[in-house]
Amino acid sequence: MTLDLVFRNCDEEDLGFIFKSWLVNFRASNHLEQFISHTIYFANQTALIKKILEKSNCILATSPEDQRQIFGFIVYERIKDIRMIHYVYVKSPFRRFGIATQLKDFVFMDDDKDSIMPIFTTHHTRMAHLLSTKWNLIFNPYLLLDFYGEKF
Amino acid sequence: MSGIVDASGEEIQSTEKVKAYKLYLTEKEMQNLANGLTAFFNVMANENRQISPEQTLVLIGCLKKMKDAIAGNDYKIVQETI
Repeated sequence: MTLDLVFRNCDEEDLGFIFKSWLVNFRASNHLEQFISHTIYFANQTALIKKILEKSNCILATSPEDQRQIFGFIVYERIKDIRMIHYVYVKSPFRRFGIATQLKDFVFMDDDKDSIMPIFTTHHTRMAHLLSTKWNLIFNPYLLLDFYGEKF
Repeated sequence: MSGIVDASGEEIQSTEKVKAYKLYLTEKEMQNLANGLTAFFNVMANENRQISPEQTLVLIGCLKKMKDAIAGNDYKIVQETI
């Protein structure tokens, strides 16, 4: 069962949606909520997302009829041979259509499908954990220190 | 948009005949319904609530039909009743 999708680059108008969905859903999708206060999380995660978005690429999956109707997005980066996914989000009513997988395949479509090179993820979520084998994902938050270390 | 698939992923070509209604809505009603449906998806997403993929496909199909209808020429002029 699939939904027709159009992939497009993120623009200024999408930033509000991306910040909000990333901030709220990332907090709810891991164990951080229990240990980091609301104030600390939102202040620091907002700064981190802003920094990531400046350096990374963001692709949105949208409806073909209305490209303002967003189904989900992926924020990813490639530094030399290192493929990094910072965050993938799919709106809850549109889950179970394989949109996240299609986004991942779209952004890394030039890569060898049988490559054994892993994809690193800098944000750990329950879904990333479930997909780790299927997508060959390795959680490595320290990549953020390597590439964003001047601020964090 | 693909149809219904069975467990093996094969698409089922349904030959079943179903009722289809000739429904006249004003442009304003149609626009409001389309906006309402779009808002419904956003509210569901904000509340992290899910509906079944089958329901999602039906609703997305309705939204597409409404948008196509608004963009098309198949309408008649009626006296609006308030």
